[in-house]
Amino acid sequence: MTSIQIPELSFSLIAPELILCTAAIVILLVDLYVKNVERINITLLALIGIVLAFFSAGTLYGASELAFSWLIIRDDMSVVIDQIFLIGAALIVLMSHHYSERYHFPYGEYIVLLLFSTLGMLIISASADLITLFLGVELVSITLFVLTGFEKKSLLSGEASLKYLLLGAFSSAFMVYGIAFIFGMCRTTNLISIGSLLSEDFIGSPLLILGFALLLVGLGFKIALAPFHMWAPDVYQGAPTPITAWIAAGSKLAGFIALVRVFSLPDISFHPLARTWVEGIWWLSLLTMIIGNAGALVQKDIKRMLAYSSIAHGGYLSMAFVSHNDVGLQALLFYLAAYLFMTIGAFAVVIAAGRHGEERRRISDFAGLAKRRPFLAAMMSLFLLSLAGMPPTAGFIGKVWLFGSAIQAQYYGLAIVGILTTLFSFYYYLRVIVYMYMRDEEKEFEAEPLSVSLTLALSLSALGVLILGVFPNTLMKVITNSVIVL
Amino acid sequence: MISLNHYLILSAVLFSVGALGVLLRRNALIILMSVELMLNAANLAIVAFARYPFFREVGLAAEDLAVAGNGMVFVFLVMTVAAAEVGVGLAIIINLYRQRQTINIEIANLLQG
Repeated sequence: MTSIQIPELSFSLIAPELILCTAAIVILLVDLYVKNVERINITLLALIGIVLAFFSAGTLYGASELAFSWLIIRDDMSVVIDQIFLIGAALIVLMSHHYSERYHFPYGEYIVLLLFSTLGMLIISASADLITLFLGVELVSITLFVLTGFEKKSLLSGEASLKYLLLGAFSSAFMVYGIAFIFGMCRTTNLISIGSLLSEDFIGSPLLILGFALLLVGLGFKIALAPFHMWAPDVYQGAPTPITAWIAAGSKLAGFIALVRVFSLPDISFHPLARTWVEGIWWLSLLTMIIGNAGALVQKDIKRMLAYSSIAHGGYLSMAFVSHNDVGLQALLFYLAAYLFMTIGAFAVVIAAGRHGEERRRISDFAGLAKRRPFLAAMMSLFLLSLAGMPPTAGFIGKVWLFGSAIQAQYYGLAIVGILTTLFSFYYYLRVIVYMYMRDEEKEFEAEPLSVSLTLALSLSALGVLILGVFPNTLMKVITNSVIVL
Repeated sequence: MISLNHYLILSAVLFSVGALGVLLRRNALIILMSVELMLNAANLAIVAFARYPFFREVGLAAEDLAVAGNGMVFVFLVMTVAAAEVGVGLAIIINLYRQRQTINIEIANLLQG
């Protein structure tokens, strides 16, 4: 009789995930058993958990190991991405602290769900197996469905969560079906085994290509690539604003990381599959850039405009998969970090511009903001210019790097479309700035004062945008190193 | 003799029925059920693939059992996820019903632009 071998469990390799999970459970219990917890205490607990997870991730640099029977991969790339996710989560917690004062929703549960969605993102970034990847994606999606509908009395919020749920579940089904075919053809769900299997010999089965295509459709829904982007503007508009920011930044980042994990499998660049795949993404990227930017031109609601801008950014980002080289991957990671800061920052301004019962979401509501609240207007301009890609912001460096990778891989057409659509995008970003600085407001509006937490979130995002823009080397070095290790 | 292909065709048919249900029906509950049908079609394909070596009439290798185990565990995880999704989905649909006294998704059209 053969003895059963118990695989080694290296818990230290998933320390950030464990810490975050513990923090979420502690908050859940505190919220349950302690009566009338102050909101500030819950916020502090969440922040402590996030900061601890951040530093424990920092100790894992240079690990480069597979753990838990090859379900988890801990390489430098996953550590960098974990840290980016955790910074984003901290900013969202700060924003939510301010926002929840306006709408009295159950704050403890809200923060718990937020932490669990962050946990899902960390799992995605560390997954070496399609099973873990799927579970991570679902953890992110399901928590976000609930969070989107958290304003129970709001019709918009309820409708947004329904749309998100139905399309999210629909796309998950495509993902599972795709994974089923990949599993059937490769006889494993492990990404590393699949990678080496494919590089050895091409299993020329149409079912395998179908599997990858279905997986791409499923993930394409999650990151709102056109033609799978229809849900995004509605969900972004209806969700509570901090959650919109988290869907736009965190969940999109997570989807891209999932794509990185699946489609930059080791050594398949010369594989016939890779070519089919690059061609598919080429079209998606092109369509997404055009539809995203064209859609943003006509929006009157600032959250919808930012939603289309986020779709357009998905198009730019997926260019990295077309160029399919190291530079592309590095540019993708850098731009994702930059994108996280500017998107979260822009939504933080949207929160700050409103007050209870009056959300100031139309673009014309921003008229005259510069006179009334110069700090907010300056912040908004910074984030919008960064989204548009003006130097010296992070958005500029990221775009140059991304388009550069496409040019290096000789996809000139795609790079040119990218540059042209970027030029178009200046119109709708600058329109908001023109409103803020050159128009007078229609009627007096007394906004609520900036709270400490929101000021902190705003300043940190602005700092991130500026640091990545002026000293891009700080992150560039880490990213370049981490991608080489792969 | 029922072969692997039969299972795959059945799963493809189920998946298509589910997808059509999502696209054509207007009742949120039925759409949710159609999504479940799609997930179960995928599950059927996974189980069929996991049992694939058993359809061939050659001896089983130890590796075949590992593949079968891998696939079947994955099916259980998918079922768990589907259950969680339905749990959340029903809550969201109930919330919608409380707000508007209908679960027809055509009525839910405030978000446009």
